[in-house]
Amino acid sequence: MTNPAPEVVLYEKRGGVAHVVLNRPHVRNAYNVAMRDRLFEVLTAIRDDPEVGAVVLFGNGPSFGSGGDLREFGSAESPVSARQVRWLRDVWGTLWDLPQITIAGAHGSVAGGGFEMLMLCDLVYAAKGTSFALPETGLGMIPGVAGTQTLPRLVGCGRALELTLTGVPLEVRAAANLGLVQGVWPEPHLRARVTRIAEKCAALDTGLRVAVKRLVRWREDPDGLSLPAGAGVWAAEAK
Amino acid sequence: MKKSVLVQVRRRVATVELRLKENVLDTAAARELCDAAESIAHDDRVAVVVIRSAGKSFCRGGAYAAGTPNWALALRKLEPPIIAALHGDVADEGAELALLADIRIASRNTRFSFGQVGAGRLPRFGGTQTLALQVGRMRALEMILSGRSILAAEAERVGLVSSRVAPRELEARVREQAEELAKRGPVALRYAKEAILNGSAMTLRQGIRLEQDLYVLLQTTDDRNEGIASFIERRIPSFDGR
Repeated sequence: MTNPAPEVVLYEKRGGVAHVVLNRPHVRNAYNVAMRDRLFEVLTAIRDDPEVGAVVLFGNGPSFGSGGDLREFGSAESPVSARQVRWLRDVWGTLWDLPQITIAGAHGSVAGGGFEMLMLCDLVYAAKGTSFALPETGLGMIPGVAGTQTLPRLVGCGRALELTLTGVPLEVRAAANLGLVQGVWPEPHLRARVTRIAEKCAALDTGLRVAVKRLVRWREDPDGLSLPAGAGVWAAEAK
Repeated sequence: MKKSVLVQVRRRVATVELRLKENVLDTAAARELCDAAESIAHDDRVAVVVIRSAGKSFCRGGAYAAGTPNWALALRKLEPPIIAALHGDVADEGAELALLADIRIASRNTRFSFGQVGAGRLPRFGGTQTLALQVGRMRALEMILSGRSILAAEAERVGLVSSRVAPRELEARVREQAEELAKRGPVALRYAKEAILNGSAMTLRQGIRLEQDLYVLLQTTDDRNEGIASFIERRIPSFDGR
């Protein structure tokens, strides 16, 4: 008997916190079709789970994530169906729109889609020694996980152009100075620290939490994040 | 008559060199700058554009009368990334010109200022928009309303320039940066720039659509296949811009 293949994304609920862990450590959590499908399944389950107030996102292995699995890109469908599938299973829109507070803990050399995934989260913490890069243009591609949109909104057009056009990696301290990372800790403490913050977020009143998230994002995403019943009142009053 | 704007294309890098009388972009030079942008726009070989100045300063200002051709619109239409090599005074229209670049590399002796409001006029080559996009609303207002000069070190700190080098290293550093970019996928560079610049004026959702459409369009290019093949075969890619 062989063991069943391990899940490419691990999911576990502890109290009000959903723990999501990318689990393709041998390829630095390269994002492939299996990961897309599993992540979509996990994220939609979280979205619809009223017991979950916060989500933590980590990666197993040497790096949080290295972006799209290029070994699978050769076997890609036609551009027409690729585009169709992108919106049919909108993993990244689902992550961005989660009514819960999403908190990522990153480590290692984070590249491409791995980096972009972080920028779709509400809070990002990182281990010492982490670096972030968008190498796509060097391979004749552009970022495809919303990075060309989230990065300039976070750090301004100038820095976003520089990082995207040159592909030069950003060290964790520089990322923190730019506001991309909210805190830097030694790697052995990262998961515990992030989880503690998530537990605090999960304890917030649901309506308040959703309203704050929506209001803070209002300018960059006026039509985003549909509010659950009741939260709209908070939003209206807070405005 | 001596030309004020020279264009040279070498190995995918188009270099626009300003040779301005007293470092001022007068109406004739403005017209030449528009022509230069136009010629580069029609040259498919160009992957990267460099703007630099042969004078003592990058540019201290320029003609702004209503009849002056709008070089800002001409440059903004250029699809390839633009690198500006800055030194000395980068003032008024010169500062607006520098802000149309995507990557700014400045010599340590660079000094930026927006003197237009102090002279009773407004920046009219995009400065009110491009400066705020670069350094945020508060700093942009402060610089444009007060006319205060900022030196290269502060410019680097607030994100107005991407890097700062010794004056004698400027040319080499800019050339190196241009050559590095020219090795990357030319179509990818253009589309990345388009997604970032045009997307910033959209809602996030519209911007993500734009990114995806450009991403998928790139899937139909030879460059992307070459990029993936080179990655898998662990070799340096060689792009054709197709």
